[in-house]
Amino acid sequence: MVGKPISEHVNGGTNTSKTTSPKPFSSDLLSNLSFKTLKLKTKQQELLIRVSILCLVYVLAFITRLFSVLRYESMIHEFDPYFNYRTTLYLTEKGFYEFWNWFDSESWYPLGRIIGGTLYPGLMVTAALIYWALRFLRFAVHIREVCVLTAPFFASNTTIVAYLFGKEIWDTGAGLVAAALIAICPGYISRSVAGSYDNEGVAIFALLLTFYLFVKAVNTGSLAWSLASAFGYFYMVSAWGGYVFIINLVPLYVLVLLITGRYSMRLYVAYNCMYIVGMLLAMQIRFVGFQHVQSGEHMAAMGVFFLMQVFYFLDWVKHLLSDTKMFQAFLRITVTCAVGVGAVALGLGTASGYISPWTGRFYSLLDPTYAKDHIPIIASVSEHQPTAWSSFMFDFHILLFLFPAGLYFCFKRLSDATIFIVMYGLTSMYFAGVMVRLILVATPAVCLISAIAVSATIKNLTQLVRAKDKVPQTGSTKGASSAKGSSKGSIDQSQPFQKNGAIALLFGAFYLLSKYATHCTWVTSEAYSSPSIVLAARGAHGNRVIFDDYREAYFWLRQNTPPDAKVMSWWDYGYQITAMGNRTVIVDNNTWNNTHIATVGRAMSSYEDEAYDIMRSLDVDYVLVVFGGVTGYSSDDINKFLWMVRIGGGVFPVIKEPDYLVNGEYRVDKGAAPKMLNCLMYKLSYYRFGELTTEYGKPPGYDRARGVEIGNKDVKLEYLEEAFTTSNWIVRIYKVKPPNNRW
Amino acid sequence: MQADIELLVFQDTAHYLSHAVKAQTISVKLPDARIESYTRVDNTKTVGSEIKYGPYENLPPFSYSPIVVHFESNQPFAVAEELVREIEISHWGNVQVTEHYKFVHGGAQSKGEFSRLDYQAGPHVRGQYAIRRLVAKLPPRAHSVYYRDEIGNISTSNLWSDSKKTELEIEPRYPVIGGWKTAFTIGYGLPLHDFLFQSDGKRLIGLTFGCPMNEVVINTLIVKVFLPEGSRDISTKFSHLDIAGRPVVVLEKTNAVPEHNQKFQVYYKFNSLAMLMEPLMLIPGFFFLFVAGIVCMHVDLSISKSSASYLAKLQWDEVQATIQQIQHIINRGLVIHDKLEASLCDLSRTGDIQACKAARKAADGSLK
Repeated sequence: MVGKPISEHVNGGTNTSKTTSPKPFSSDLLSNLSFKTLKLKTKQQELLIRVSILCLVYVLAFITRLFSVLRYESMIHEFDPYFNYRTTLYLTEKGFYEFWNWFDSESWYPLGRIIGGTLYPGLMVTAALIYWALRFLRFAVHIREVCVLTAPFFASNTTIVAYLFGKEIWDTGAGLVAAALIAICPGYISRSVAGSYDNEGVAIFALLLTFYLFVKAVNTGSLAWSLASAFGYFYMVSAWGGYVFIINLVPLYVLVLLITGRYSMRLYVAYNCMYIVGMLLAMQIRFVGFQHVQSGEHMAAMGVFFLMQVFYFLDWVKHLLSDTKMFQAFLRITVTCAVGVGAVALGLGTASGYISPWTGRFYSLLDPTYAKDHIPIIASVSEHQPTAWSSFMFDFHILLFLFPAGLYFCFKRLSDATIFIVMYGLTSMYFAGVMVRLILVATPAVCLISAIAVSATIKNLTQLVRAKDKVPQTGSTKGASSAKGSSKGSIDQSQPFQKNGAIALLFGAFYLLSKYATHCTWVTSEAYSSPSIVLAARGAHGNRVIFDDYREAYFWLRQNTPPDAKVMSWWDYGYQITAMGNRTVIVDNNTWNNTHIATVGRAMSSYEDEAYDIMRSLDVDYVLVVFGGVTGYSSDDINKFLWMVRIGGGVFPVIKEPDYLVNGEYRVDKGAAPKMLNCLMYKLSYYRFGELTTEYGKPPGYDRARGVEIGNKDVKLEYLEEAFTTSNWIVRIYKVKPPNNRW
Repeated sequence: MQADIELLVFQDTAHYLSHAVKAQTISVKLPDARIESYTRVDNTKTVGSEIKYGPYENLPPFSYSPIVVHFESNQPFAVAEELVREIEISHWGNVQVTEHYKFVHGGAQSKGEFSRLDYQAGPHVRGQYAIRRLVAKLPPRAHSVYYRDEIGNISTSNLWSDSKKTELEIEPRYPVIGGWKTAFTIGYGLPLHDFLFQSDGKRLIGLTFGCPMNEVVINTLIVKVFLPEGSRDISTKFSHLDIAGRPVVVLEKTNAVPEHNQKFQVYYKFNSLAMLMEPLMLIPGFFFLFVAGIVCMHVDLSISKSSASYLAKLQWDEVQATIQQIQHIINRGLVIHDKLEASLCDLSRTGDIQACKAARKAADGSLK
């Protein structure tokens, strides 16, 4: 009598559909069969769940980045990606050697630019390889689509690496949570939406991969993993200048391990192999060249490398010498000698100029005020500004609170791996505070550490909940059993509050995480999916108005100017003009020559006749300015103008910032400085603007971007003439007139 | 100047050229009464915007008397320097038409500045003659229409469709004034069954030759018809999953005007089974991918069978398997224990020793 109900109970869940007539014996057999075939081993079940979660996260990371394609179109975004796109196009058309030896005469006229030696080719080569692979498989894709989707593809790959990394430093659960968190984290999405074809898109993948492989190498002491991390490092070097972060963080980490007495043979193998092979590989990138042995930024790694050898040597000597006193003396002498030799070598190298000093960018990371005082061109870029709290909140949301909790868990279970992630998290958080764009570098660390917090917390909570749940579960196999319930009840009574608390906390965690998901989706769709080439605004009736002025102007340049025309504009638009307008530019976003940029800044801030001489000397045919006065587009050239003055003045002292200010105030209305009202930039921006009524109820010449009526409404141009103005006046192009006949 | 009026020159001969003519008059009708200048020959009269030459009588063949009329016209001259129409036929039910235009305003060259302010002030005020909009009359049921150029989508377009026709109104990125150029691409899909017919084993596709826009003169018109893969090779173009390339028929014509919009037909033979080739190709592709995945998961790739990590892995697997077995056994034991307990409870309630003994026996049996 007892056997039957149990077998039926087992059938109940799995087998009712198969056996229509409940015959006890046959159903028992069948149930056993089906149960055995259906039931996977726990390991397999876990694997299945893990793989399916990872697959979902992989897909999610990809599709959440497609908002930009849905909202706008499959296009390249912003500024730098246009250069990357143009070079990728060149690479796919002409092949690798042509690309590597490319001298680009279309930018930095008349200097030109050696493309192969001045760029990180990782991104372009990656996209070209994907393109060639797809072509080989007979998918007739366009290179533009490959470029647009490269960043989301690599973001998806990053989730896998994050999973592996999380697994390595904590456990599988943390890995899964980390993958899910990083898949939708706005800090990362901001640089990896579809169309954001920039170095960072693949570099974050490479960065995390290198770190993961290195930690794996340190954990296992395996030469293979260490070699793999060297190759990861090579990929990172080929992709992004941010590799300097790796080559400084890893030695720092090694140093910390040495100091905390965690030196081991594993560490020795991992670091030496990674450093030497990685350095040799990195030298193959022409842009990086011999910097690993010649530049101050890379000296920390080399110093730590030698320190490791000293440590190893000391270890060996300690092994030989049984006398501790003698060893102490030996230790003192050796360390002094080593440090002395290192210091002397560094001093000699720096003094002789063999080792170059730190670059300005590096300094500005360590000292946030440095760029403002010394390098205006770095300070002028908005993404190099110190980060505001709000943007931390915007980009990390709950991760910002989970981060310290994760740190706590890491410190509680300290190991080589957790020390690494803690150091990565703390240093990158500092850098994220210094520069807005470095939030990107901090994002993987923040996601991983937060994942540890989430995973550890939820694991503890579910353990509490399940400890109670076990009772009704075992009871349920038996059916209603009062005796058992009461016997176990005595144990449960000790922590009823804990159980409920755990459930409440679980719900709280669920709520927070779902809030995070909502926030990320909202941020992605609203803030980070705009291509910034096409501007969208809401019209009076809630309809979407599109300002496509940039492309209008670039396409006009492409079609209606001579193919060898030289276009002068502020450097922000250089890449776009060469890529979309297909015309030669004087300066572009690769700000390698400060003097050249300063010359353009000087021309823009001079009177027209002086500017004409400068433009004649640069062979300028067209001048392009961006003007937001009609539409209220605020990031236009008038608002950037003070930077032009500063950068120009930094090289040519004739240009003085106070000349353009009135009592330290920057204005364009009647009270503006006379030099301001008559400089080239002002004239080009406001030419014939005084006749235009922009807003109902305002006088003509009302600048909507700055909310004032302009001061000089009667702008006359003597040496230039209007060649084209886009439909919303955002881009204005002027033709430089040829010199007058002398006779 | 942009604000100037556009003046055009018309050249012809006042006499009919190649034949002997008994009587002839020529009248030149102009769009506007303003005539800058015109050639005066005998018997020339102007009435309003019309110039009359003749009548001339008894002219010998090859008599030639050039006339030049210089007049005002503010019409835009839309000239497509080159139009490449690509028609790609897929037997999966779609005809994809892609038209690449290289456009130029063929009217008088504009001198000097282009002022947006003046342009905004209105087209008729200052006698402007820019190409602002063009209307393409596409066949009915055209779908997936796009309008773009090399650097992306152009957002200034409108589409109307009813059962008779589909009308696409496009604006170039910028107003094309005299002498300016632009280029763009229009693409659309058409349902195949509207255009494909079958006659005794041959297939026949009927399409329009010229450009769907009226008021456009085409200097060079190239029509390429890409037939599905699997026919005689003329020239090849690769599309998704093509191996051998598609046969292409190329038609070329210079100086095409809307009157040339004739229907043309392409006959070809195509085996319906050939269209299954591409999906069939995908199946083994994916099959091998999955097989490779399975093989990868199951093949033991370690070089050294005696290395510590390999042994550790083996042992770990073994331990896991054992743990699972033990868990299974414990679970079974627990279940049996529960049964026994239940039967004991029953015993204490009902006093039915037989049932309890039976349960005991069953439990003993299963514990062994």
